[in-house]
Amino acid sequence: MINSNYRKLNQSVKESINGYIFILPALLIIGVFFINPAIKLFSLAYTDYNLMSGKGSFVGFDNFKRLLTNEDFLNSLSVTLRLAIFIVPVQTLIAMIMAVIINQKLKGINIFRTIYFIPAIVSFVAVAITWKQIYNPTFGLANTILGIFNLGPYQFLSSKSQALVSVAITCIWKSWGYFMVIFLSGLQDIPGEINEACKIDGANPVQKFFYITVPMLKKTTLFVVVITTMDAIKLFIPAFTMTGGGPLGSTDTTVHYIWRQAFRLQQVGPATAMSTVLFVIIVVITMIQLKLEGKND
Amino acid sequence: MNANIGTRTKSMIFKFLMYVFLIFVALLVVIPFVWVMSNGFRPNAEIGKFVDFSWHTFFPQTFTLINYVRMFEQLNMLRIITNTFMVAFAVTFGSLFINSLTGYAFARIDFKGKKTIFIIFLSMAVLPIEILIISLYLTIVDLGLSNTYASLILPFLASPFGIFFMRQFFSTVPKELDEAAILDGCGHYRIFAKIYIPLAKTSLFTLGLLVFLQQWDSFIVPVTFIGDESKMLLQVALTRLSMGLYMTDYGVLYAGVTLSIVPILILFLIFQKNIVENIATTGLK
Repeated sequence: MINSNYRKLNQSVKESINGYIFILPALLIIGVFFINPAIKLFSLAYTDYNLMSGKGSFVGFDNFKRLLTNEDFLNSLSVTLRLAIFIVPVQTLIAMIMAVIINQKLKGINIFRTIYFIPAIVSFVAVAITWKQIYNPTFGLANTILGIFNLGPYQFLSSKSQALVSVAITCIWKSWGYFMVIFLSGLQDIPGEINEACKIDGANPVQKFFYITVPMLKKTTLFVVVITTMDAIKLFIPAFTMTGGGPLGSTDTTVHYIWRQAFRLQQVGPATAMSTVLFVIIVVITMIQLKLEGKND
Repeated sequence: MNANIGTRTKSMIFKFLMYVFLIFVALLVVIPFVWVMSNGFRPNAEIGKFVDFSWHTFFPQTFTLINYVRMFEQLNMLRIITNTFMVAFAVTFGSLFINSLTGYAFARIDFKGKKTIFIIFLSMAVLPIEILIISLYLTIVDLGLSNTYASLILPFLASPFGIFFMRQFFSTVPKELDEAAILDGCGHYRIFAKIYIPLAKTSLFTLGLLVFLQQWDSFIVPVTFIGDESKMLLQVALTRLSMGLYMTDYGVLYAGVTLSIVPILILFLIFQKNIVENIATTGLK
């Protein structure tokens, strides 16, 4: 009896040891490169750490207090917010409508699905550079094509009023195909009987879209909206590669502004405080998502 | 009869208009690439010459490979591409190994604290690299890894998504398989290597593809961690080229963009089924 209990205990200890050996590499990586920097991030936010000197002392909530009056930081939050407000609804709507269109049984439709997905697979840097050239006021493709209709020439990225929209269009052009595919899989989950019933009742395609497709895609839409919002919050490459945040900060996204504070101006303390603010925003969005998802189930 | 013909022509017209629309959207997607790629085959003197829309907007007047030649001669492009492939492959294979080991443990081994550790691992997914980049950089400096390939590889050898992905797959494997193996006296190591890994071939391939694409695109990490020109990766090199520290060499820039697009495009066209279907089911890149 004692012997068998002992053996059982031995067995479970052995099993535990095995488990830890299997997860050891991941434990090390996640510990050193995720958890440790996360703790560092939240502790540096309360210091005036400078990257050049490598020194810093505790300053309490000073970094956070200063953020409230830091116009450039507030501007970057507003830029990010405006980008999100533009990109999220427009891109989601395009992706959804195109998914419905591509879901039809037409010859060769898969070829179009493949083509539409290409921008999503190409690197964001290549897309950003391509569009920066397209937007070139003197020889870019955009003015060439608008010229056919006697429009322009426009300044695009060099204009304070046009730069943000131009960046947003590039982002949408890059990603809508990706979300179209996600909507497509959502559409394919709609039971066939519902489509049949629609046909028998003589619903036209527009009615069907608003009364059947949109409600049935609620869950997918929530997912897409959350992911797109997160992507908008994290935008860095367009600002870095296309505009450098300009002109006059009009495209200076939050991540880009923070990055420059840390790595160009060495202001790690304030920069980590800003990152903390951004992190809180992300957590809040994640919590809203989880709550809404719970409601749907 | 008449009505039948009426609906048939109607549906024909509908189909025709549909194709016109689909082709129009396809052109919106393809034209920017065609334009930038065709510019890569123009001599610099010709770039900006055809401002008004014409045949030559998309087809060079003088076709030349000089930009590609200059790109490899002046920019050390061979080195940059080798670096990019090397780092991407190292992360892909390393992370496949570590994530599947970990996924197996979470799916099949009972160890103390398993649930807690799993939740901690997964919760790291709310910390995107854009938030973590500053303190991760300081960690890299503390470890003496700044300006090394290791700084681009090590932090990405395990990922919450990869671990979750592999755990999900291993959980679907019927337990009878390993019970039989245990009776035969196999330990976890052999069950993992001889039974689970071969079964997971498709999942591993898909995950590997996604990781590789992510690495190829990766920008904020290499632009932050690597200052040394000889260790530069492709996306960073292209950005530097486009910002033109001296004068933007447009021809070389267009050639470089083409070079960064083409391998991924080929990969995509070969494996599009894997890529598209898995994005549809997992919803994650």
